[in-house]
Order: sequence, then structure tokens, then C-alpha cells
Amino acid sequence: MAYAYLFKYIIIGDTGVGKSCLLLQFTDKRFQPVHDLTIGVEFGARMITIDGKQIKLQIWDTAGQEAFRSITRSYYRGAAGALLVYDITRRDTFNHLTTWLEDARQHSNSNMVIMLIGNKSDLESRREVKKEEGEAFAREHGLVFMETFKRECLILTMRRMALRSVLSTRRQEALAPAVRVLAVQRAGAAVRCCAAHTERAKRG
Amino acid sequence: MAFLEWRRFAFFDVHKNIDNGKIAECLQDTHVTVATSGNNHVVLCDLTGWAHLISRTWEITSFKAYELIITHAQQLPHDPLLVTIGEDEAGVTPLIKVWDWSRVDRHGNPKCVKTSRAVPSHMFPTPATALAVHENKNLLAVGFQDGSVALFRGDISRQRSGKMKTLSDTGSSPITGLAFKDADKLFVVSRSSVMVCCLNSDRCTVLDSMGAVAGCSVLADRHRLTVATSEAIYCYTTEGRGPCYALEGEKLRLNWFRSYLVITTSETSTKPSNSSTTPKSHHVTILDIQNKFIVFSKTFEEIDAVLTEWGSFYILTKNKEMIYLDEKDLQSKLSLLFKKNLYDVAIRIASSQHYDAEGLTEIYKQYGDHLYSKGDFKGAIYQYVKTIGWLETSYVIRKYLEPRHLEPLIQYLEELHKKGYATEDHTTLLLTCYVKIDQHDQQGKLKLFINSKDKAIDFDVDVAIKVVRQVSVDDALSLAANHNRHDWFLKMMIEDKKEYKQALDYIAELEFDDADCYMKKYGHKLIQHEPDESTDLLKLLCTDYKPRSRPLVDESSLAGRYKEPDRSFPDDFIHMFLSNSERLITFLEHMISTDIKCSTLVYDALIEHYIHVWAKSTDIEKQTYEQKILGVLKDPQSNYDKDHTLIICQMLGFKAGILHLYEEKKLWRAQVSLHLRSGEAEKALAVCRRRGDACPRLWLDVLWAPPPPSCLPDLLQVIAAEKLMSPILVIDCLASTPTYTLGDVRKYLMDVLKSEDEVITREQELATKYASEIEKMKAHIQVIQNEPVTFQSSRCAACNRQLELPTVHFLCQHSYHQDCFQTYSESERECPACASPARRPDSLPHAAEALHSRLQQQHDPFAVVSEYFGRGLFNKVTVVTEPPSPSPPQSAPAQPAQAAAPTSILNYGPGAEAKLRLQEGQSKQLYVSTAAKQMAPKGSSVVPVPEGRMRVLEQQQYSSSLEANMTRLEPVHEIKRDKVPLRISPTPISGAISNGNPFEDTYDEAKNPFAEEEEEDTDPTNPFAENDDYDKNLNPFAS
Repeated sequence: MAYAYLFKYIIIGDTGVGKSCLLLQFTDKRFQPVHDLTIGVEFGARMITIDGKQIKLQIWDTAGQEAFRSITRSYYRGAAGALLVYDITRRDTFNHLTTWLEDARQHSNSNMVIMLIGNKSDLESRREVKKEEGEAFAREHGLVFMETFKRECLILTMRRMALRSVLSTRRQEALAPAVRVLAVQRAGAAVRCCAAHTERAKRG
Repeated sequence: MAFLEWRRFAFFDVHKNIDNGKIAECLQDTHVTVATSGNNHVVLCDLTGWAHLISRTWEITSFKAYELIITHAQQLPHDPLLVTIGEDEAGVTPLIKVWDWSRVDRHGNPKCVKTSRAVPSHMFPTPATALAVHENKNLLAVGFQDGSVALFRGDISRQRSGKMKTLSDTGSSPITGLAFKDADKLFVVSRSSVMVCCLNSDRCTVLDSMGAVAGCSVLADRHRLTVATSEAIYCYTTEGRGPCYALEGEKLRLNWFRSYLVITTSETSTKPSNSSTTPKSHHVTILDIQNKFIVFSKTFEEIDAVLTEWGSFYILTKNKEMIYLDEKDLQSKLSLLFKKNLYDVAIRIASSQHYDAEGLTEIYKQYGDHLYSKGDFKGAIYQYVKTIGWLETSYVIRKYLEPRHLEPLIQYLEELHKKGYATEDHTTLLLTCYVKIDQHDQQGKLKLFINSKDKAIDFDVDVAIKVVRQVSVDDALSLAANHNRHDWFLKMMIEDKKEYKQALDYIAELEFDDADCYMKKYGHKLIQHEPDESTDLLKLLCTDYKPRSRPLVDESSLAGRYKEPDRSFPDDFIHMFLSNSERLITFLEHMISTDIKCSTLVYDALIEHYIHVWAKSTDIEKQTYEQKILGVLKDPQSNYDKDHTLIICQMLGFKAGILHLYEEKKLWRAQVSLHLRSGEAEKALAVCRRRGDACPRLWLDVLWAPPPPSCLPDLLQVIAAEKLMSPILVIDCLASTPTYTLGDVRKYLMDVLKSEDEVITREQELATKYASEIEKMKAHIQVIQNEPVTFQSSRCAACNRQLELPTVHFLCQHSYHQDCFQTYSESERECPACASPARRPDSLPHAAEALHSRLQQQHDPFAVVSEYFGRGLFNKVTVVTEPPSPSPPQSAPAQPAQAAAPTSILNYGPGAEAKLRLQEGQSKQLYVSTAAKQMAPKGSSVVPVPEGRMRVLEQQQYSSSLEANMTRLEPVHEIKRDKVPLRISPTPISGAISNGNPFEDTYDEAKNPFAEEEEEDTDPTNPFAENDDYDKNLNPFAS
């Protein structure tokens, strides 16, 4: 299917925080209460339309297990954004955020957008991590933050926010593939984009 | 690490030594270097350059392909073409050979259709490390040790065709795998990277910077390159990386079959010590990529090759043993899973293999049962929900009937409704559940359900209302209102809530048809409880109803289109008022006051209820009601049933109405009798005075009542004047009432006596007169009979001149010149002077006509008929028997009368007179001529003369005799008639009394010539004896 942009997002976080669920919802719009452990990396793609342009979103769902860390690390590369997920009902998942963040920063492009997601906010009764804590953490590390509640609606906003940030702030630098595709699709504009990109790269 | 793996199952059965050692026999002690399969055959190549073609039945065809060794081989899947790379001579000179084993060469071996060097001429010789042939037989790629890839295009089955080129940018590490994706992409796997080459643009894209060893890359599903490294299995598409599956272990080989990925890993021995002595072992793992679990996992001896042909896997071990992995069929897979209670997996497998819906349902059901038995009721209901449409709902519902299972049950039922499988009972059950759960923890589910206007859940509204009504009428009401179930709404409003006013308001909002219908249905109750509003609404309905919510002027009427407003018939509503006469009256009055034409029923009802109210009300009100009733009764537009109304009036004693109706129906006698019954003789008399002319009976009715004495004078006077009853009877009647005094009737009696007296006197006078007349006539007859008649007039009666012969003489003493007579007379039979101005009707048909016309004209036909009877008109005509013989004319002079009589008898009939006349003329002339101027003989003069007169006289005699008879009989008749209540016109009688006989005068002067004769002449031949008969028939219309 033809598309104007291709963006890659990667979902990271401790095991059992609901990464695969997020992916499933995003791609299939369905919720699966029981899910097997992710072994390795899975991915889903979804076409969305913004301003009349087809945009393909690729979401990489990684295994949260420490054992798979080495495999998953290779998938940071080329990601336009990362969804850093923790479980609000499990304090330790929040505590591990720093490690994940370091990992992400280390293995990805420096300009990757990272979004902090406090998952399972529908289980309010078992909450262990306050929303304020999440917000504070996000502020501290310059992340976009949200807690998911209504899952579908959350996915929608998440997607939009991520996309908007990508498009508005770092459109040119964000993704080489996207720019390349753009070049194919819209020759004139794309050349300029490429030029800008290379210039900045040189400067950087 | 086990918990970091996918779930394991054993979906394959292992069958060892499937080939009965044939392969081992064939290969003997050499080793398999490469194995490939396709086109229903397996090809094994060994170290010695032999290739072995194995068919399904384990028949082996071996041939020497290369002198030294075969390093690579690929059998095309759909063609009998085998592509091999091997060496014929020592050194690095890999040769590509293409074998077509459907053809044989002269040695009986498969034919080698192409041989070419693998290494392009511009390159240094280097060993080939990878081979890929496209199915279309036009593309062939060879990878080399130095990282270069050579691509051959062209028909591979021909020696001379095709071009060869080297792909750029493929790196320098040895190529370990090649795979075509369609005809334009080539996946290239080297030791250090994974690339995809676009064959058309000759450009290579690096997909990943890690490579794989030989044999550890395979094209899965024809589009996804799967590459195995020691830690994971990575998937690539032409666009980039795909998912990866972590699976540790040193991978030796990857194979792809259907949706299974077959991974051969070398088992790392846990005992490091005697590794050299223990034989190496390999582990085979089969992954179901789609469903993400391991479907087979087993350790074998060292494996030489894994073959995927003939619909399954075959494993060739180092010991040349062929092991067959037989995949279990779906049923046994599922039962395996069921045994382990892995229903979710079963479902996944079943649906991925397109299991039929019914089978899936069965799995869902089992899964549900399993969860249920484990106590996971909510989980179970999820599964049961999926069985909707297949599984009997009662099966599920029965399980959840306990109160603690309400929520799952509701969930199930809701789904049932959403999917449209719900029946009435389900709706009922669901609503009942809602109600229960609401009672328990106030979730307001019922409300939610009721208010779901868009009908998110499909349910039978009527049933829902019925159920909800039992619990909460308010909810049921809103439900009914939401779904426009007016009937239910009103029913509940009226029966349960008793909010009649609201019900009315609701009706007023409805469209006309509904409003009409529901008003008919519930009007009775509404009127009982809300009489005023209901009546108002009914008035509206019957005149110009509009739903209350609608604007006064709607668009259509603005646009000029006039729509006939709907109107109900007030008839339909009348019965609703039943006992509420006042409301009914206001309603009906309204109806009548509008200009709509109302039915009879409306008026009847109105009048009836008026009268009812009238009967109940006090005197003062009675007046007003009486006015109203009479107003309606007298209104010419009122369209009421008079008889019906009369009955009602009579039942309730509404006299004014009765009288009015009697008047309308011309029942004056009933009116009179009513007056008399109520003792109002004056009024009765008044009626008599008004209507007496038309109906004289009224007077008699009053008389028979009997009336009070004060009325008597008037009454008697009329009776006397009109001669309604004979005085005797009047007196009889009066005498029966003891209260009358003589004084009351004195005047009457005197009058009667006086008039009787007068009558007697007059009759006596007449009697004497008739007697004297008879005497005169007798004398006259005497004269005629015995004395001659002298014709002595000297002048013609016509011209009044001197008579001259010839003359015509009549017995009436008129004489004419014959000329004059002929001129004047209209017929020669009669004397022109004496001819009656009233011409006689001359034939019988006229008589009948006259009779009929008289019957019609006369208003007392009975009198006419009786008169005719009196004249004997209807008697049988008695014809006089013929006399013996006609008397000869010669005897005429002697016995003229005698002679004339027989002739007249003879000629009896219409023409009789004419004949008589002829004879007369003859005889006259005879006499005149013979007797000349002499006195005519007695007889001859007698005969002709009276002819004309005679007729008249006869008639007169007849008439008068009739009259006389009648007069004589009259009193008797009168009495009889009075006793019988028959109206008889008094005119003929009074006429007779008052001498209405027009011939009386002539009678007086006339002399009946036959009066005497009849008595004296007993001769049967005398025509005059029967004269009456004759005349009656011939001429009954004298009067």
C-alpha cells in the first residue's frame, strides 16, 4: 500500500506491564485479557491518515524480559519514538524506568521522542504509582506523559500526540526512511527536506 | 529457559525407518552432502558425485552427476528439473548442471540439459556457497565464498541461452543463503549481513548487520526471509526487519513447511567430558509461527537433512535412517489440547485451520464448561457468548440461574439480544435480571436499558414493557414512551398509576388515528375519572383535532393545501358516558352546535339523555330542559329516530315530547287519548278542533272517553252537525256515564229531535207527492192506452212555419217538416226539441270508464260502489228469452204497442232503438199516407209518440226509485256504520236527504207510461216488464 510517511515506534518497559496489549489494541483495536509472554520482538503496523496523507505506523513490541534485552536492543535503531510503559499497579516497573530510558537513549537516535505511559490505570484500586509521580518523572526527563484508562481512546491520543510531536518538531531529522519515502512521493519538497537533513547532519 | 519459550505441544508422531532401510542401502557408507525435494521427489546428493532421486514409494534412481562431488542442489518444486553445483575436476571449478530427469540420455540417466561454469569469467575462481533457482526457470543465483553473487537470467533448461551478471554491493563475507522473492527481489544472506537486492535496479539494501551460517536462512511464506542466529530467529521482509523470536541454541538448519518453521539445533551436551565418544545429537524444533507455539520438539541422532515433501517432514539422520514426522489431524490435536484444558490454544489452532463454525462452537462450549467448572463464571460466559447461535441457550442459562451469577447471565443475555437471537423469554429473563441487580446494588441497569433509545440492544419492546411493568411502572412508562407503545403507556397510566389526567395529556399529543383509537379504548375510564378534560378532548376529536404538540398552522396548510381534518364519529364515544348524562349532553350539544352533520344516534342519545336529566331534575330545571328538548325536536335539521324518541318519552313520561311527536306523526287520536287520560278534555277538544276536519273520528274518541260535562255541548254540536254518529248511539254512550245530567244534553236532544221531525215531515210530503204523481201517471197511461193522440200542431217546431207535407210527428206533440227535421235533428231517432242537452253516453266501455273515474274522484268510493249495487249494475245480465215469433208489421196499426214491443225485444241491443225508429218511421209514413189527414189510429199514435220521452222517463223512474230505496234504507245503514268504526263519507246520504236527485223535477211532470203497465201487464213477452234490466245495462249513468 502506498504511503507518504513511515514511522517506527518501539514499545519498551518491564515484562507484564501490558506492552503487547497496547500493540494489539493499536493494530487490531481489540483487547485480549490473557496474553502469552512475548518471546523476542513482535510488530504491528497500521495505516493512518493525517491531512489526507497515508502514514504507516510500525510499532515494535519488545519482550520485557531481561534475557531478551540483547535482542531487543537492536530494535531501537531507526525508531522515531519509543513508548516507555510502566504498570501503575507495580511500583518496581516504575523504578526500572530509568534503566529503560538509559537503554533507549543509548541505542537510538538522540532525537527520538519518548512517551511515558502509565498503563492499567483502569485498575485504580490496586494503584501503587501515583499519577503525579509519573508526571514528575516525565517532566524531569522531558517525556510526554499520559496514563491510559480507556484503552482505545488512549491509543488514539497517544498516536496523535506522538505523531504531532514528530511532525512539528523534528520532521526532517526524525526519520531517514520517512524522508526518503517523502522524496519518492513528493519530489520537489523532498529534495529540500533531504538537503536540510544533510546540512543539519553536517552541522551536528 | 523453559519458561521463556512458547508453549510446547507434540502434534507430530515419529515413525522411524519409514523407508525400510532402502536409503541406507543405496547410500552405503558415503555421506549426504545436500538434500533437496520437489515435484514429488526427494533428491539426495552424496560426496561421491552421485545423485539419488527418490520417489514416494521409495524407489531410488541414482546417477553419477559429477566426477567428484555435488556441493549444492535444488529441485524445482513443479518441474522435473534439478539444478546442481558440483565439481568434475580437482581445483576450484564449480559447474552448474541442470538435469531434466523426465528425459533420459543414452546411458539411461537423466538428461543433462545445461552445463555452465558457475564462476563468471571475470572473477577469480572461488567456491560456490549458495544456490537459488526461481520457480519460473529463468532466474538462477549463485553465491560465492568471496561474497559475490552471480545472477543468471534466461531459460535454465537450455544450454546456450541466458546472460550472467554479478551483483554489486554484496559485501565480502561468504554468502550463506540466497532466496528469490518474486522475480525482482533476492534476499542475500552472508555471514555478516542480510541484504535484499532489487534485481531490476541492481541495488542492494542492507536489512541487518548480522548474518547467519549456511542453511540457517529460509524464505518463509514466500515473502519473509527467516534467519536463525544462535540467540534468536529473525524475520525480514523486503522493506526491513520483522519480528524476531528468541530461541537459543546453535542453529544448524532452518526449513519451512506450510506454517511451520523447522529448526534443527545442535544439542549442547551437558557432559563436557566424553564429548568425543558420545555421538552428537541434534534437536528438532517445529514452530507454529502463526499461533506462536512449539508444535514438536525432540532430540534425534545427528541429522543430515530435513526434507519437506509429500505433505510432511522427513528427517534423514547421519545413520541414513529416514524418520517420518506424521502430523496429527486436527481432531486429535484438539483432543490433546482439551486434555490439557488448553482451550484457548485449541480455539486458536482451530480457527487458524479454518475449522467449521460448529466445531469451533463446540470448543467454545467446552472451554466455557471448563472455566465454569473451575469457578471462573465470568470467563466462562465470554466463551459461551461465542456459542450464541449454535448452542442451545438454555444450556448456558441453566448454569447461571443462581443469583450470584447474575452479572454473567446479564452479559450473556445482552449479547444474545445484540446478535438477534433473543426470544421473548430471553428478554423477560434479562429484564428480570436487571431488576434483581438493581434491587441489589442500585446500578440502574434497568434505567440504562430502558433509556437506550437507539435500541443498542434489540429486544421485544412489548415483552420488556410487560416485565418492567411488574416491577416498576415508572420505568415501564418511560420504556413505552420511548418506543411509542402508546397502548401500553396508556394502559399503565390508567390501570396502574391512575393518572388519568396525564393519560389524557398523552393522548392529546398523539396523531389523530392513535388518539381516536385510544380514546375509544380508554375513553370510558377517562370519562369516569376526568369527565371535564375527557369531554373537552372528545369534542376536539370530533371536530378538528390536531396533536397538541403540532403547531397551529403547519406547512402544508400554509402552502395552500387544505387537508380535510380528521374527525371521529361521536357515535363511537356516546356509550362511554354511560351514566354521566350531563357530560354527554355537553358533548353532544357541542357536536350538534358545530355544523357537522351528526348521525341519528347522536340526536337520539342527546334526546334520551336530555329526557333522563329532565326526569331527574327539579321543577325549575325541568323548564329549561323541556325547552332544550323541544328545541332539538323541533329543529328541522335534527336527525333523530322518532319512534325511538317516542318510546323514551313514553317511558319517562315526557309529555311535551310525546305530544310533539304525535303531532309530527299525525297520531292525533293518540294525542287525544293522551289528553283524555290525563284528564285534559279541553286540550283534547282543542286537538279535535284543529284536526277534526281531517279526522272526524277524534270527536267520537272524545265522546267515548267520556269527557266532562262542560265539553259536551261543543262536542255534541259537532257530532250533530257532522252527523258523526246516530243520535241513538250518542245517547247510549252518554247514558253509560252516570255523571251527565239531562241538562247537559238537552240542547242536543232537542236539536236532534227537531231535525228528525223535519225529516219525517219532508218524507211524508214526498210520499204524498209521489202518490199523487203515481195517480197522475196512471191517468196518463190510461189516456195513452185508451185515447188517441191528435197531432194537431200546424206549425213546424223547427222553422215555425206552416206545416206542409211531408211531415214528421213525434209523440211529444212536436211536428216538423221533413226537411227541417233532417236539417235540425242530429239523429233521426229523436225529436230535436226534446233532445236532452246532456247526451247519454252510448256504450258500455264508457260506463266502465266513468265508474272508475268516479271511484277515483269521489272520496267515498264505497258509496259509489254501493250505489251501483243498488242499481243492480253488477248483477248478471239476464237476457230476456226470445219471443215465439216477430209480429208482422201488418198488425202494427191494430196493436202498435204490441207490435213495437216484440221488435224492440227482438232488436235488443245497442241498435235496438234505431230499428225501432225505422219501424216507427215506416209505420208513420204508412199511417200518414194511408190514413192521410184522418186521426191516426189509437194504437199507431201511441207507439211512436212516447219514444223519446219514454227513455227519459225510464231513466227518471229508475233514478228516483233508486234514490227512494236508498233514502228508505238510510237510517239502518247509518246505525250499522256508526257501530263499526268506519269512516263513511256522509255526502251521498246527505245528498239523498237533501233531494239531490237532478230528475226530480222532470219526474214530477213526467208521466211514467209503464208504471201501470208493469203491474198490469203480466205478459212475459212484454219488453217493459224487464225494462229495468235493460236500462241498467244499457244506460246506468243517467245521473
